[in-house]
This record gives sequence, C-alpha cells and structure tokens, in this order.
Amino acid sequence: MFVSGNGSGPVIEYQNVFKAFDEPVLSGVTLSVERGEMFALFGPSGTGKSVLLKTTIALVIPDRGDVTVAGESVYFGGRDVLERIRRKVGYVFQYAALFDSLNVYENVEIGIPETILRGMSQKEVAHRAWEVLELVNLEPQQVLGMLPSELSGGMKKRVGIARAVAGHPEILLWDEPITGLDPVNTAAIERLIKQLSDELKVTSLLVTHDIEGGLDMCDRVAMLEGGRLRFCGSPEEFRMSNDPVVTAFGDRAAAQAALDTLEIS
Amino acid sequence: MIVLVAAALIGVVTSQQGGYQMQSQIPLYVMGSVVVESVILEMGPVLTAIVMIGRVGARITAELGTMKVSEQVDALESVGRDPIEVLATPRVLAMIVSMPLLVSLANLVGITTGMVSAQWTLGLGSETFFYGARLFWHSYDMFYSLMKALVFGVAIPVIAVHMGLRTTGGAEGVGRTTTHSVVFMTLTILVLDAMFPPLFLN
Repeated sequence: MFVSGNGSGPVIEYQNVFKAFDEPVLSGVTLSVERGEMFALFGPSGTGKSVLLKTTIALVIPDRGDVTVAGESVYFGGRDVLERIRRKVGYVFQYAALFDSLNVYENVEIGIPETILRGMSQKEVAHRAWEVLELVNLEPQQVLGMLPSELSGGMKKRVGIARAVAGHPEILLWDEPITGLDPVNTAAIERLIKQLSDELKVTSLLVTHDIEGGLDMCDRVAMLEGGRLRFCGSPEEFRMSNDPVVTAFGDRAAAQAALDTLEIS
Repeated sequence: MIVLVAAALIGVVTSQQGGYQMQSQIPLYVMGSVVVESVILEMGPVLTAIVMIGRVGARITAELGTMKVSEQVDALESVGRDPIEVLATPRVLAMIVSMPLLVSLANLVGITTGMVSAQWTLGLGSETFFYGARLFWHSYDMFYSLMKALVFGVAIPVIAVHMGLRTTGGAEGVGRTTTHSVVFMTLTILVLDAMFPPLFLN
C-alpha cells in the first residue's frame, strides 16, 4: 500500500524498495511524492535516506522493488527511459560534487542535458549559466571563471544547485543541502530551496537532518528508521505524533541543532 | 622524460653487462645484437609500461577514485552523461596512441645509449655494433615490440579506470585502491609479457 498525499497525483513512487550493502539498508520502502509538493525525508544517520534518494535516478540500484518517475519505471523501462527520467530530475549533492577540473561556468553548463545543449548557441548557454547563478544569489561575473577549490562551502552548494536547475528540471532531489554550513548559510540555503521550489514550480524531495527547517518548508514529511518507513504525514501530524521513536528523534535533532548553534556562536 | 631516462639507463646497463659476460669468450660484435634485441623485445616495452603504471595508471585510479568517493561520478550520471564515455574512453584511447610512440622512442634511446656505452667502455665502434645487430635482426621484432606496447597500452588504462570507478571508503579507500591498482597492473603486465614469447616468437 502506498503512503501518498492529496496532491495532483504521484510523480515519484518507491515500490517496496530493498537494498543491502554489507547489511540491509532499505527494507521494503513504499512511498510516493505528489507533483508540485515539497517533501522532506528525515531519519537517523545510516538509515538509508540518501540511498533511497539515489535510487530515484538509478545512482544506486535496488536489490528488489522499483521506482517510477512520472509514471515511467526507472529499472524496467530501459536505457532511453532512464535518460528521459534523468533529464527531468535535478540532483543536489550533499557536498555539491562539483567537477574539480572544471570552472563554475563549465560545471553549470554540464547540468544542461546534451540533447538540449546541442540545440543551443554558445551565447544562449552563457545566458542560461548567468541566469541560474543569479537565481542562486551568486555574482556570475565574479564566479564564472573560478574553480571549485577557490569557492567557499556555501558558494559550492549554490553552484551545485545552479547546476541542478540549469536543465529546467521538473523534480529536484536535495541530499542534505545544509550539512556542514554555518547558521547564516543554512538559513540562506533554506530560503533558496523554498524560493526555487515556488518560482520554478518543481517537485522537491529533500533529505535532511534539519527537522525544524524541513517541517517549516515542506508540505509533507516522512521518517525512515532502520531502513523502513516509520512515519509519513503533514508537518502538523509529525509534531503531534505519539510514536515514541518519532518523538525521540524530533527531540534529539532539535537538541543537536541547539547545541550546534551554541558551539558556533 | 622518465621513460627516456629509464630507456637510456637500460641501454647502458645492457651494454655494460653484456660486455662483461662476453669478455674473451664471444666476439664483441655480438654486443650489437644483445643490446638491440634486449631493448626492442623486452626492456623497452616492459620498462616503459612499468613507468607508465606509476606515472599514468596510478594517477588515473587516484583521480577517478577521488571523483567516485566525492560523488562527482554520480553527479555526471545524474546529468545524463555516461562516465565510461566521458572519463574512461578518452584515457584509454590516449594510452593506446601514446604507448607505441613512447616504446618506439624508448627503443631508440636505449639502443643509442647502449651503442655509445659500448664504444666508451669496450671500444666497440658503431659500425661493428650495427654489424652485430644486423646479424640477428628480423624486422618482425619491431612489430613484436609495438604489439606489446599496444597490448600494454590497453591493459594499463582499462585496469586503472576499472579500479578507480569501483573505489569506496573516502580518502583511505582512494589510497588503498590506488595501491591495489598499481600492484594489479604490474602483475598483469608481467603475465602478459610472459605470454608473448610462446604466442608470437615461435
């Protein structure tokens, strides 16, 4: 049975997804994300959140189960279908995963699917790179020629986001977008996630440890625990949950967030 | 540069050692054949391959391994690019083209330094040296040398890329995989080298 929201139909569906490396990581996760919604996935470290996110575009292949994106199977649709799905999805990696040997312009350019890129002039590509860098509040003139090693952590994240949105995706997958950032950059990136989702009208699936941020931003949230879905519902339902595991996780995460703020200040 | 230095030293050592072994027993003009055949059939291709394993193979594994553990390979796939096409193919092709050229150069340098060394230490003139070399020369030997170069030029980058793209475990994993890759590439080259004479010299 699917756990789904009340939006305009599911755009991502995880169907009984199993994955084990040395030990089981995902033990039969079934979940769906509605078109246009912002969805946060919480859970303790090592519980399979990022692995689940990666199965969406076959960066990790499940041992069992399937994932469908916009009605097409990621694993049973063939190479062409997977390529089509990847063109619809922008992926923001935990540590940005910028290409070390490419400058910011080239990193953003590579985010535009090859099929679209072939039909664009150099001027149009440059214009698109400029546009998305402005969208993530970076100064294009200043950063376009810089290498990733010359950027701060927050700037790298923004360039990673710019690369993910450069190809006009319908879905954005965010893997721990605020990990390792100071409170100022955390707030800035969270504002950016919300702004991008509103402006670009994309579906966002967000994996995060920041419970308060996720609850404030998202339409629905879910919690993974031990490779299984422990909770799925609205932010209000999460806050009001009587499940001791959900409550304990929420409190511990809130305590950790407070501790982080104290340590930084 | 490292290939050329290694090749030059191979020529000198082969010539010196050959001269020592042949003293008063075998006519010295045979030295020409010993140096030329040793360098072309064995030393040139194998030592060039060993140098390239350290210089290029290790670098490929470490570079791709770092890209793998820092999710750059995933990022490439996420934007619809095939890592094999973007990362592996150019490296393999570059090595396939460069290995025969480097081995040819190494052979030339090795023979030249072997000849010069024989002249200085054994008093063997270049005409006598090449007289000896021609006595046992088959033009097939050069083809054999280039064939080895080509096979090594495929094996080194294919192993390096394969190991690099399978890296896991962060910085420690990159170090571990690079070490394994160098060991595996070296053993593979030596095994392939041992298979050449029975397959192609009979």
